[in-house]
Amino acid sequence: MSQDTTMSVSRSGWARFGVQVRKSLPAKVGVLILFVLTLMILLAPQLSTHDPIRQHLRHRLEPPSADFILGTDHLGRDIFSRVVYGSRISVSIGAAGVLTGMIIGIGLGLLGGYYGGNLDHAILWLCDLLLAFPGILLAITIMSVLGSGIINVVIAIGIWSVPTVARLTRGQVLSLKSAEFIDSARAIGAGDARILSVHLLSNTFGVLLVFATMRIATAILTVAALSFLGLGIAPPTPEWGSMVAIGREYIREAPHVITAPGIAIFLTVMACNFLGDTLQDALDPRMVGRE
Amino acid sequence: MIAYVIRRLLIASTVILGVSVLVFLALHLAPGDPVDMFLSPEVALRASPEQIEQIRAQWGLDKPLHIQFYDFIVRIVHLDMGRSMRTNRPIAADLALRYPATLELGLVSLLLANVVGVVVGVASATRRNSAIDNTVRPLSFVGVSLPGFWLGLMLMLLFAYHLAWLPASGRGGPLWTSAGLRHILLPAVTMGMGSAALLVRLVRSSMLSVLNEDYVRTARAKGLSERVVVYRHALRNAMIPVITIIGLQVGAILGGAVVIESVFAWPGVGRFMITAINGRDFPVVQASVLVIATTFVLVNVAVDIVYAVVDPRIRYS
Repeated sequence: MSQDTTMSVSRSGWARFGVQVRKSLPAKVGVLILFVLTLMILLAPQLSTHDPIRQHLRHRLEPPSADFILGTDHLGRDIFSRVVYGSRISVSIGAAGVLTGMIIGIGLGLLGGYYGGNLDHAILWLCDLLLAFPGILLAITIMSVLGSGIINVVIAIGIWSVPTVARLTRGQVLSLKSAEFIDSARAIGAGDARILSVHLLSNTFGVLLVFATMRIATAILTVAALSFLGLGIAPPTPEWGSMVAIGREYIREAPHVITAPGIAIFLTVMACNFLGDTLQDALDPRMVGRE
Repeated sequence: MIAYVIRRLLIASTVILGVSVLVFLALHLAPGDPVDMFLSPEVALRASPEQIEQIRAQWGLDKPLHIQFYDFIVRIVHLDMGRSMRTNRPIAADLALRYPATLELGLVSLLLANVVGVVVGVASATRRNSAIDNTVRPLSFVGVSLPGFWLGLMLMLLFAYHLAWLPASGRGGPLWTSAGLRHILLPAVTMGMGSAALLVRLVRSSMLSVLNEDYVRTARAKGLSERVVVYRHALRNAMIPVITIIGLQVGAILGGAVVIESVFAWPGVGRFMITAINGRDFPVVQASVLVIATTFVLVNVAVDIVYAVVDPRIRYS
């Protein structure tokens, strides 16, 4: 019974994911965008037409042209090259933050759900505490203390993800821990460590994968918002949110400065959401046939 | 019921106390000397050691940690949040001035999000696979993926600068005046967009599953008009999962307020806080965080109590 409420990534799960991608237009769009994004991240030096930090002060706030495909910002920096290089920063910080949060959150969720008792209560209370900071507020509070910088943003995104991951993992563990296959594992002599790491973790992987995909989308939005507010990645590092923040000053005379980085954030986040949705449909048997 | 309310309030007060501890400790968990948080960079450069010690004494940072915490809690209980380091004004008074603005913006965007979410979600579900449905579904993904601050700037560019229909920023006055309404429209739409898109998807899928229920078929078989079937029978039940995410929506909106208020220069708590962070006015940051988090916790308690009234099963679970 408990098997019904969890998602495991079996071979058929991946096969269903392939089928879903082929038959759903949003999924195809998502895969295509992520493919282009991966190319941008890997081939940034080859794709960019200028040095993303180099200033061309005689070409300030120029609209798109043959030389500057997406125009230039207030210091004459090439926006296209900054958007291309920015993909490395925005995506890697979002992903690294979510990964950090996943590692800590999964650990806490497994321990709380499996051992129960006071440990579980303490972990739940900690989660409630962190969840009392609505939305981006927790990340903002952390950044206000730590100050801006790449590592600090990763820490902020990590801590912000911990309570949700921990609760999600704990819920999965609770529904699984009395399952027959766990009893069988225990009967043949598996210790707590093995049950936790092999049996419980592998069976919660599907849910966590869907969560991580969608969380990366939110994390990229959060990183961009932090930088927009001047709390995340400081210029001249090309980061999409801080590019919008800079362009905001010149919004009337040169709206192209904020257009490109904004669209880059939007497309990346949408691709992650599309993919997360498709993964969910593919990995959760209950969803099959719903749409 | 009273026992349930008391239990819920007790849990909430431990969470609020915990949040206060975190907000208090944030100062001491920060790398470096806590007194740095009370100095602007320009002051820190020319401050003599004596001046730094004076600031340390002024903010009680020379006392043992537990005494500092006790003082902090006592002050908060008395609604004394100290004075701003920049303006030297009482923080509680400044917050009291800005809180209604945040509340107003939050409520209007919540209302907009819910009206749009329910109306569009129902239209999409009842005309499944129609042109409306096929437009709404991808648009709902667009809505949740748009960065709010960027959407706000784009709306500002279009409606305030190009078309000159609406003001670009600020608060125009009370909501019932024309200026008030015109000023709140852009920030409220920006802030409500994500929640509206999420609600459209939720209402649509919830409606679709309810429309297949036997009681809906019975209602149709009785010869009731489609409008009555959809709005009186199906929607009421489809709203149950929707109501459960109101707490989450309030969270998204309160969090969004911090960003969107800064975009539109809306004079609320969020903008107050960001200005304070950028000006390294740490007591204001502490107080603002505490006020926003407490609001969020209390709204969730209120929502829980409303559920318990609506659905008695919750009280006993």
